Amino acid sequence: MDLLSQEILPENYFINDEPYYESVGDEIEIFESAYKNKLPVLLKGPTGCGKTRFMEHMAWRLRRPLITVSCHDDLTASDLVGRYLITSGETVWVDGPLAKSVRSGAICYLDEVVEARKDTTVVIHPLADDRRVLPMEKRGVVLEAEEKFCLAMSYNPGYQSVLKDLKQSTRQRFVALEFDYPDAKIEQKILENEVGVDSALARNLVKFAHMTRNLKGSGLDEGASTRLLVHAALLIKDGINPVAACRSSIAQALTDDPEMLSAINELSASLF
Amino acid sequence: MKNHTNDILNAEDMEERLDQFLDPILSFRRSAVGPAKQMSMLTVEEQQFGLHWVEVIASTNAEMAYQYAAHFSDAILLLRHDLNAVENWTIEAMSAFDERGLQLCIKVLHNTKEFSENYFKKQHGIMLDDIKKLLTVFVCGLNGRSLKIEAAEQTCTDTETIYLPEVVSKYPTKEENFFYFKLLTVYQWAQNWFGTWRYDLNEKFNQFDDPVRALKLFHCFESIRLLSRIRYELPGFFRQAENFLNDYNELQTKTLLTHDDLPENNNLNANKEWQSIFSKLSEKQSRVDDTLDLLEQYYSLIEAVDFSFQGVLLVNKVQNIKTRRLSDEKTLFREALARLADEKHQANSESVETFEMDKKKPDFDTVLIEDIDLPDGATFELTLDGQVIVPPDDVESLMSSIIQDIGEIPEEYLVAAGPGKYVTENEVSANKTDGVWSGAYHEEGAYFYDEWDHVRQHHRKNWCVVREVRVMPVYDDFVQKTLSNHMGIVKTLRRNFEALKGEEKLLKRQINGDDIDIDAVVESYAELSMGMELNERIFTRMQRDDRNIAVMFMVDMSGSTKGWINQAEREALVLLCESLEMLGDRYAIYGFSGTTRKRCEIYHIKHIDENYNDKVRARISGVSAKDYTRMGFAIRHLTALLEEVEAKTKLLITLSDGKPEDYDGQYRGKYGIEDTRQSLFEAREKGIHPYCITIDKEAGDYLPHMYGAANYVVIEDINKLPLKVSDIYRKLTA
Repeated sequence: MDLLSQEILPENYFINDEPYYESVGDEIEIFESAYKNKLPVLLKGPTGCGKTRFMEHMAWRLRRPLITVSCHDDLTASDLVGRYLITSGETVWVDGPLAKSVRSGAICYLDEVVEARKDTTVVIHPLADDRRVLPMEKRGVVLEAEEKFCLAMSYNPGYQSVLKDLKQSTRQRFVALEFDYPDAKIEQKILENEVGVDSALARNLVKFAHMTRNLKGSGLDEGASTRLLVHAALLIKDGINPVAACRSSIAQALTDDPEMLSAINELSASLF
Repeated sequence: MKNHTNDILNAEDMEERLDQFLDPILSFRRSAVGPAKQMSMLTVEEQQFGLHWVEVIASTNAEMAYQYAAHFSDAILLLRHDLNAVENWTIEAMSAFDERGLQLCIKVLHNTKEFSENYFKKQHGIMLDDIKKLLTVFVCGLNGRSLKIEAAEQTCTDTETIYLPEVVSKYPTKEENFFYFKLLTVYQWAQNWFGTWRYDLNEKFNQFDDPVRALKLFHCFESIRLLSRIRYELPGFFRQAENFLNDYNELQTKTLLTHDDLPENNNLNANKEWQSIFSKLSEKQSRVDDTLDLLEQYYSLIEAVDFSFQGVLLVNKVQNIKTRRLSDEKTLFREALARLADEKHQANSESVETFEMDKKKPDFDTVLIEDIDLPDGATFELTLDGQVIVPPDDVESLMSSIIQDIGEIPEEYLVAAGPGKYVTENEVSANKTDGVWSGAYHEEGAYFYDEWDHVRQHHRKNWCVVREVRVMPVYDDFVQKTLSNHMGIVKTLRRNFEALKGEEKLLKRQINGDDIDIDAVVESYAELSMGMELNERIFTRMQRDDRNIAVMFMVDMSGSTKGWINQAEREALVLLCESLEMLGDRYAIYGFSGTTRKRCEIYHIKHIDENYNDKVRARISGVSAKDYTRMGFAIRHLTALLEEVEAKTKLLITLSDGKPEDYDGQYRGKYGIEDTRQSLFEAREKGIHPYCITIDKEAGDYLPHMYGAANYVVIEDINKLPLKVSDIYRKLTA
């Protein structure tokens, strides 16, 4: 098989249709300004509050391809930069997503960056300050970033683990944007626009989300995210009974503890 | 000798058997003839069951055993020959004896009828204990200040706790009884959330010539209002609740009847009045002010209806609690404002000098934001010098609690506290714990743990009263001295632990991995071209060594450790801390000791997330020999603490110098060993690995039974303890 055919082609990563995003503050202006000034951006916020959607929206707005890397705990520097592969008896260098973005001036978005291995920060640092270069250790070259390249990453400060903390030397290189679940009215609007449910249902779903968020710290690590609400709304729109939809798409996603589950189910049964 | 297990015993044999157990309290006026005769009518199984328990109880108290034997046959009949029920009855009687003595125990034995009624009720009823956690979470999710759930005779709330009946068995099925619990809870929650307690109700009721009548009428109207607010807030719940609100529905239907429907015309006026009350209170945004207006209007015109679900209004109690809370929260809130103001000024000022000069009085205010979803239709934002600020979570919940009580943040709350010392909650409770023994005995703020009674094969409920107390820190050169005395050992330990830490290792020749192992590829190529099979192992992989370990050290601080054992224990702790700091494992250290079950003490030396600092070092130095070695409670308490820690591997390591024992003598011997064993079982069930390091040379006799054969080690030479402990830990976790 031609290994090169698996290569990332940045031109395929343009976003043509406007992704729906409801602005909650001045985050769009700040991002645009950071982009203009070639500053990298760090998105902080709990899971499912719209960080990734925001990136898609910004990529569309700035007309740049968006290359997203979902970081996991086996992601190494060479997964980002690139590696030698062997094809028909010869070694061939294949760029990783970060190198591709740097070359082509795309937006590279490292999702949940704290999940990645520690050695990835080594390649991020020189890209994230005014040098804007990517050292490619294995090839012995230093790649200079294209004019329009932008580095963005996301991070959930909610993780309490010491191991999953972002180092000062990393975080202090970024313009940070804080995200949180939108307030009730905006969240309701998001559900109406994203899924197309009526306002009464959207309101009840948001109310339910707030109930679960009240439980944060009293048995739940996190309350229901906007993403989970969208899931529930989609199921309900498709004809699933609201209580059952909340159970499957929200309660079960939040916890495995049987007592917490029944309490959350009681809460949704109270609303619908 | 007769075969005791298979034959029915006749009255004579039965008497003989009972005599064996009851001998100490039998006399020529009191014999076992009566009980024996009755028990001889029972089946073999029941007889054996009865004799077994008489024996067990007699080992605690012979009089109790006699009473038990006397009531046993009645209990069998009343409890419909259900031995499970009889066992429950037995345990309840023994618990009564444990908790409040013989009199109460005899009362339980006498009241078998009452017990059996309750017991069978519980079969279809719901016990509050079983759903307490669920309801607590449920209420916490609903909104507002978090409320506790407790059992009480009357259903009510004091604005911090919801009191509910111990058992609900009103309805034939468990589902219905559960829902009824939920109804009671939601209604009491609604009082808190929808502002029933906004004003001093005593003041309001005293304006009427009959305050009791006023209270009743208020309660009735308020219930109607709250139900209608619940209907809007929790439509799904209300739909279900309608089946449980017969008295309410009846009243509401009446208001819909017209002139012709009524048998007696003189009721019509009252109905009209109810109609206007319902329509006024069913408005979406109805408030407690509306209820109070109606109370004034209809005070002399209408009779209150008692709804079955409404419970009682504890006006005085609520007022007291509210006054206390408001004053506490005012202090806390003003302190928080001072903190916020400081933070802001510090952030704004470049240097300390300008900061001091700049420090004018901060100007706090609130801005009203409309929000129809909230009970008052609005909420408030906090501003500082005209700018909206987002307070941290704790301040925000403080704010919402104040708003829940008064409906706004009054102006006098918005003054940041000046410098000065405020007694915070923690300090108060710490003082309470220490004062237990210098003043009157109390059990406030203590933890309760069950203890295993191997004779009964049941737990004794809430048997141990456990307190966490502080070790008085001693600031001396103990740690320094230990480190210099053991300099050689410290170096070795550090090296060993360093090796354990395990950096990332590059593994070569793997089947899959991050990168290609060029050497291996070249070799495989060569092999392939020679016609051999292609070797698959051509990758390199980084191996990470995640040491996700949390360990808790439980140090024996009993009187027997006095002197050199204590010295060795402390030295061991110092070396251990040094090693563990190197390793980065999370660890906590607690001491344990106590005298009798009423005074079980856990000494805090280092919490799991505390840093190894001077204070901890001083506490280690301050570890001293105390009283006895009751172990079960300590294991249970530390298990509970360890359970809250998130870690892949959890260890509970005990440093001990001997068998469990206590002042009262009962804990010595088998009882203590079995209780400790049971507590270790409980710990293992929760995924904790217990391990014991002891210096008791006879530990081989009992430790394998308690900890299991491989989970303990005996250290022969006490001087080696400091080195050994770290070494053992290293081997355990390598």
